[in-house]
Formats: sequence, structure tokens, C-alpha cells
Amino acid sequence: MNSLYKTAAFGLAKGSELQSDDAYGVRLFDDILVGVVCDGVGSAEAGREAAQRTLKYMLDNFKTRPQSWDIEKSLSTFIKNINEILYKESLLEFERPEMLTTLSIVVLQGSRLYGANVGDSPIFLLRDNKLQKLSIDHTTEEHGHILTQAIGMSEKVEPYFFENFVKTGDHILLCSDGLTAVLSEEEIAQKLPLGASNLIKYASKKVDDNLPDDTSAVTIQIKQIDQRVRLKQQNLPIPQSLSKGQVIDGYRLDRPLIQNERTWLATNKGKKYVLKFPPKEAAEDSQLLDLFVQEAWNAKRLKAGFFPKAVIPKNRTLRYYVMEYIEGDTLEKKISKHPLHIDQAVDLAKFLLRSSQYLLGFNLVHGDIKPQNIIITKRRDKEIFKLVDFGSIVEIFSIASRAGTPSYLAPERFVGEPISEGSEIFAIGVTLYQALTGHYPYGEIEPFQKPTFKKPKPVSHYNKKVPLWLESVIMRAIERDKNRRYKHYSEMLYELENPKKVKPYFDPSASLIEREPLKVYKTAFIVSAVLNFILILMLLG
Amino acid sequence: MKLGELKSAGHLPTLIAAFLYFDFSFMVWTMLGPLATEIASSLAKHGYILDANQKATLLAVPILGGAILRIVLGFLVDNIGPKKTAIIAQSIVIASLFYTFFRGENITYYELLAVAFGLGFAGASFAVALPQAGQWYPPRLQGLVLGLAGAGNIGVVIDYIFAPKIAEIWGWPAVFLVGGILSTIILLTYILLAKDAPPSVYQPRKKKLSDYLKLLRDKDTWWFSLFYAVSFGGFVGFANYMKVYLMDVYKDEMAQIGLQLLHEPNVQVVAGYFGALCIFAGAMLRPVGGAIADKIGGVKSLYIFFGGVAVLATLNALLVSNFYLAIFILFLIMSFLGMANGAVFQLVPQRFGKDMGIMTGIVGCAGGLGGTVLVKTLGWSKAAFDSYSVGFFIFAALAALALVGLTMVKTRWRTTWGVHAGGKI
Repeated sequence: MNSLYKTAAFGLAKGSELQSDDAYGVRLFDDILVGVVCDGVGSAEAGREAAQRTLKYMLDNFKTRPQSWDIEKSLSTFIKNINEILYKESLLEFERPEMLTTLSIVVLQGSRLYGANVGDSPIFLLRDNKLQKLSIDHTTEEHGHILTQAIGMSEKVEPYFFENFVKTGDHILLCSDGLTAVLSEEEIAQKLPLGASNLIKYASKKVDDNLPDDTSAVTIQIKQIDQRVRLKQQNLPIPQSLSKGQVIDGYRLDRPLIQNERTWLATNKGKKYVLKFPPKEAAEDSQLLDLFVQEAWNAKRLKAGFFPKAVIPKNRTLRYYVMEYIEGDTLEKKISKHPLHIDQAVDLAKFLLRSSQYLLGFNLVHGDIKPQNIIITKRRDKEIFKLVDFGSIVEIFSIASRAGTPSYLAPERFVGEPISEGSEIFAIGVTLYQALTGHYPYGEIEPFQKPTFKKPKPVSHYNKKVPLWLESVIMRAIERDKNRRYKHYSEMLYELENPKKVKPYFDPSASLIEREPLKVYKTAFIVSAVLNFILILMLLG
Repeated sequence: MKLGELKSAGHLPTLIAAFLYFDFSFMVWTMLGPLATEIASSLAKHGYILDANQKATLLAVPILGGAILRIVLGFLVDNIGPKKTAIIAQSIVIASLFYTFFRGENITYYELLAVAFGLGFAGASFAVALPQAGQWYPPRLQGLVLGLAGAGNIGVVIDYIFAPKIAEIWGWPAVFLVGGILSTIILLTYILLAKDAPPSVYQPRKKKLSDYLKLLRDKDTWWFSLFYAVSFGGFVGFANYMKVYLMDVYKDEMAQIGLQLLHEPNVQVVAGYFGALCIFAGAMLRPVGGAIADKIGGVKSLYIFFGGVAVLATLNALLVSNFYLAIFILFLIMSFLGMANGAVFQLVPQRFGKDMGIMTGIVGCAGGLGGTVLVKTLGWSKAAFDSYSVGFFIFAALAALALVGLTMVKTRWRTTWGVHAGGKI
């Protein structure tokens, strides 16, 4: 493949600074080449972070993009997602958009060039010594040079998309506006064939190594056109009815695992598998189909011991994906008889937090953590947990609806706040509470209810064996006020790993004597001593 | 309240016209209920004695008509628009009312049945007035629009308070005259004020038969139909039959109370007051039921309401012979039924989302059928056993069946709600 493109990426920070707010990269994945430049704006730290995360997000996602999505769809979806993530995270953290960055991206597939830009980092095409700007700057000059669009600036982003054919010998340049500030288009056209590094160094030399702005570039030279553009046949049918004994691509359906009969236990060559099909309605509803495609894609790419292994069979004749069958009961079934042992509950907590941390690495959240979705299975005589159901996994902050299971939704999700680490921690807390007590902390909540969250009974009310420190951790996870709850998985995990450092939990309405008995008694002692002293003085006087 | 918003958005004259049309229609729809005993004695004077079954049939026909006709009118609304549909339906109602007045005491039982069916067109006005007002308003105001219309349930209370008194003074046909004149005024007002929403405001999406069939494949549709058949069927059934029931069972007690406490020598009027009292509870508490469902969950609250109805109906069948206690129990039954109505309609829009329009039709029809069955069951019980106990038992059993349905729904709902479904409010 490397015989197809020659790529380079290079950047310098402005003036004599060491760190640049730009992020850039170019990567080859299977049949596509992706080049990205992001120029962080906003206050320094947040801008730099935004640029780096946007770059990573785009590269990671193109690496594992759902095969049935075309490039346009992938581009628009990924841009929309990262914009939402950064925008909502900034609002939570800074209460205003701070994590801002421009984004310029090109994706090459065969002879086709797909591109998009948000902000003012330009994209150029050099053909037959003529330089053409492919991107459009989202700026206004009314009150100085101001960006009208940036990733993370507002809830919705409107990228500029373009498409072109490329030819052998074409050069593509993506750069931050630092470069165009220093070099004229003629100079760029002249130096572009030498590659990103030469181009940037030439610019730096021109201003005596004192660049006015962070300056970076990605260059791509088309050496040869990929002739093997595969147009994959992805119009797979969605089965409208499934029945026991039916054989699909060698998998024999044995029995449905969930009431809706779209998840089946199946056998293939004597081995058990789980087959998941999209809902029937997906045949007419493209939104539902998209969700299923995304689910299958998540199942396939999330390869970690926390989840069942999943594959999308290469030559499937229907739309479905396959998961390994995990022998064992759900946690729900297990705790319907006995609560978990303390050690096991602590293991469960750590397991859930680590799975969630793993997902967060992909900017994802599980969205439906509950005992029903946790399977207890044996590996070499040791009981371990698996987290199942890829169907609710979504990008963090991406939904503000009440999707999920009502009894496990954090209070803020009932009033339209987006799904977050905090709301996942709440679900983990409720799961642990149930695992140890057999009760819901806030009662069972119905789908169309506006629940009131009353003060929950402490875990030890139902299960005397639970140590105070663990109770405190759980109570802090199911805290109604998200500001008093753990905000990050890492905080909760740290406390689980260091029981001695856990401070006792008190409900915000607890009285002072409940919260700090020592302080109260000390104060009472001092007050009474002083009073006595005064009394003695008065008696003497 | 968001009443101010109703003025700025949509079309206020239409809302007022639809509100008047619908609420007054409810009154006309249930008009036979408080007059049933007067009509029966007037027929008897002409040598035609109604048995309990026939009385029940007379009271059941408007409810049945309302149930079936609302589907028919629903199709008409889609095809010729709400305004034309309303004018046609209302004209049939007015014709029935005046016909009855002019025939007066000479009317036969079979003519009365035809009139009762004509009144069914008033009961079907749900299917016309609500969409018509709703079409003008954005989704977030739909609840309020529905709520204003829900106030129509109070119409039957007004019937009970005034109809017997008017009948006493001018004879029962006079009630039909009053109804006819008022209905004509309302129709004229409606013609002047109401306007179908133009395409720029509302794009009609015609309901197809296949849409109904698609919903009927959903189990929840059936359960919700049962719930409403019990709650609204119970409410409208008892509301219609209340007078007959009270006169059959507690005539002597009521006559005594009338003379001693109310200075009202006419027991028919006293029965009307007591009927009004019980029905009033059901009509007024409907929104309270909705609010409770919001707070503690629709399924949980329906458990309480239906459970309460089942227990109270059984009590009434088995133990109660004291008049005051009986009125108290009927009052509670009607309260629970009214609140159950509110709770069912807290769930329906959220559960069925964009299919809401069709679902209201299906569920409302089921409610009417439930009412028909209840009235006929009570009449049959009286005719066959000379007692209402069996009828109340059967109603209690239906409420218990609804409890089973709730359990099924609850188990099925205890699952993940998809990102797509989202349970958005």
C-alpha cells in the first residue's frame, strides 16, 4: 500500500515555545488514507486538549469505522459526535465552550478524495503546478479575524464537505493557518512537493525562526491510484421472523434468549454462540438500522476481557452479528437467592469501573449497567464477571433522553442532562446496592414516571455484613446530587482499592453530631468547661 | 398554567369552539342516564313496561354508538376535514333531540333506541374536536389541549343536577327541547368560530387501516384497551346507569332523605343529586390520577386504582345495604375509576408516541365498549337474579383481570428502553 502514497507530517510551535496547540497526523487503514490537522483555539490548555482529542478521535474511529458506512456518512457522524462530546464536556467543566479546535480532514479511498473542514485550517490540492484551495474558511472579518465555526463551539456543527477525484502526481496539503500567514500561495506551491517537514522549516527560516503562530502541515503525495476499490455489498436483508431450528450461515438457532426473539442461542459445529439480529422495524427505519450497525461495530471493536467476544461473519447472508456464548447465570438471577459476598461485591465494583474506564478510552459509555447485563462465569475455577449487551453503548454525552433502564438512571437524566461518567457511576452504585441488599435504593422506577428520589436506606440496614467503608463508597455512588457523587471512575476505583482512605458517608441532611461526633463532643466539653469556670468565678465573686 | 401561551400560539377561536362542542356533546351523550327512570314510567303509562334488560339496552346504545362512531368519524375527519364532520354529526344529534321532543310522551321504545344511537354521534365528538383543536397547536401544548377537553366529563354531572328537575316541571321531553336548542346554538357558534388548520400549520397524515392493524399486533395495545375498558367503561357505564340503580335499590331511603333533609318531595330529583355527587368525583379526579401516575408511575398507580375498584365493587356486592355506606362506596369507586382514566392517559401518549392519534381512537373505542358491557351486565344481573350483586362481581373480576394485565405490562417494561425509543417527554 505504501507504494500508493507518500505522506509526511510536521509542526513547530510559535516563537520559541516548546508546545504547540496544533495536532496533526496521517494514517493508512486498510483501503483508506486519513490525514488530519487540528488547530486548538480558546484558552491554551483546553484548546490544545481539544485539538489532540479531536485528532485521536478521528483517527481511532476511521480505523474501526463500520464497514457499511460510506466515507461521507462516517465523516459527518464522527465530526458531529466529537463536537458534541467537547461542547458538552466544556459546559460541564467550564460552564462555557472552552475546548475549541479547528478540524481539517481528508480521506482518500481509491481515486476518490473526501474532505471536510471546520474553522480556518486550509486544505490545498496541487495539480500540474497549480494550487487550489479545497476548503472554505469559517471566519468573519467584521470584528477582526473571528472563527464562525469550530469543533466544540456550539451544540451543532456545520462542517464544509467536499469531494474530488485525485490523479497520480497530485499533492494534498492540510495545514494550520500559521503556515498561510507566513508563506504565499506561490511559495507553498513551490515547496509542497518537498514534504511537510521541508515546508514548515522553510516557513520558519523565512521569519528567522520566530513563527508568529503554531505551524503544522500534513502532506500527501499520490504516487499511484488504488485500483481495488471494493464496493462492498452491504444491502443485507433483515429477517422478519426467526424460528427454532432455522440454520443461518451454518448457525442453527436453538432458542431465543430475550423476549423480543431477536437474540438467539445458536450452535455451529458443536459450539454455542449467541446471534443478535436487528429489530424487525429496522427494515423500514433507517435510524434503527444505523443503531444496529453501530452496535455491531462496537461489539466487534471492543476487544477486551470485560465483554463477550464478538465477530461480524465475513460472508453472512443476513444482517446479524455473532457473540461467544458465556456459560453462567446473570447477576440478577444469582442475587435473587443470596446477596453477594463482600469480597465478590468489591470485585464486581472494580470490574464495572475498569470496564467503564476501558469504554471511556473510546469516548463511550455502556448506558445500561444493571444486574441483568452482568454474567457470572467461571474461568479456571475462579468466578469472573462479563458485561453484556452492546445495544446501549453510546458516545459519552451523546444522549440526553431517558434511554436505558429507568431504575438505574441517575436523577439528572430524568431532567434532560446527558449521559456521563457520573450517571454511569450511579448505575454501578445501584447495581452494587442491589447485589448486597436485594433492594433498589430508590425503589423500582417505571418508564414513564417522574420519580422522586427519597433518602435511601443505608446498605447496612439490609445487610449487616457490609463494612462501613464499602457502604460509604456505595452511598457516594448513588448520591442524588451529582456534585456530591464521584465524578470520575478513577475516584471511586481509588477508594475501593484503598479502604482505609474512605471517609464515612453522611447524607447531606445528617446532623452535625452524626457527621462529626468527636468535634461536637469536644466543643461541648470546652463550652461546658468555660461555663463552669465562669460559674466558679461568679460564685467566688 | 400555560394558558397565556394558548392565546399566542395556534387558533384560539377554534379551541373555544371545539371545547364548547365537545364538552356540550358529552352532556348530550349521557342525557338518557338521569332521565331513564322518568322515561320508563312514561312508557309504562302508555302500556309499555320496560324490564331491566331493556332499560339497560336503552342506556347502552349511546355508549356503544359513541364507541363505534368515533372510528367512523375519525376516518371522515381524515377525508373531509374536522369541520364538515362536526357539522354532519352535530346535525344528526340535533335532529334526534328535536324528534324526541316533538314525539313527546307518545314515543315508542324502538324510536327511543334509534334516538339513543343518534346521541352516539355526540359521544363520538372526541374523534373530531380533539384533533381539530390539537392540529393548531405545537406538540408541547397538546397535553393542555387534551386536558381542557377532558373537562367534558363534567357534562354528565350537569345532566344529573338539572335534567330531573326540568323533567319534573315541564315533563321529560322538555329536557330534549333544551338540549336541542342549546345544541343548535353551539353548532352555530362552532360554524362561525372553528376553522380547520391550513396545510401550512398541519399536514394531515391519513390514518390507514394498516396502521390500525400494525398497532393491534402490539400486545400493549390490547392491554391498554382493557385498562380503559375498565376505567372509562366503568365511569361512563355507571354514570349512565347510576339513576336506574339508585332508584331500584335505594328509592325508599332517598325519598325519606329528600323529604327530611332536602325539602325535595320528588325522589327522581334526589336520585339525580346523589348520582351527580358520585359522578362528580370521577370527573374531577381524572387529572389528579394523571398527576399521581406521573409521580409514582402509571403502572403502580393503576395497581392501586384497579385494586381499589375490585375490592370496593366486591364489598358493594356482598355486604353493603346501608344507603349512606353505599353512596360512600360508589363515590370511592367513581373516584378510583376517574383517577384510573387519568393514569391510563398519562401512559398512552408516552408509550405510543407518534401513533397517539390512532391509539386514542382504539383505546377510546374500547372504553365505550366496556361501558356498554357494564350497563348490559348490570341490567342482566337485575333481570336474571333481581339483584345487582352478580353484576358488581363481574365488574370486580374485570378489574382483577386488569391487575393481571398490569403485571404482564410491568414485567415487559422492566427492560431497556432503546436509544431510539428514548422515552422522551
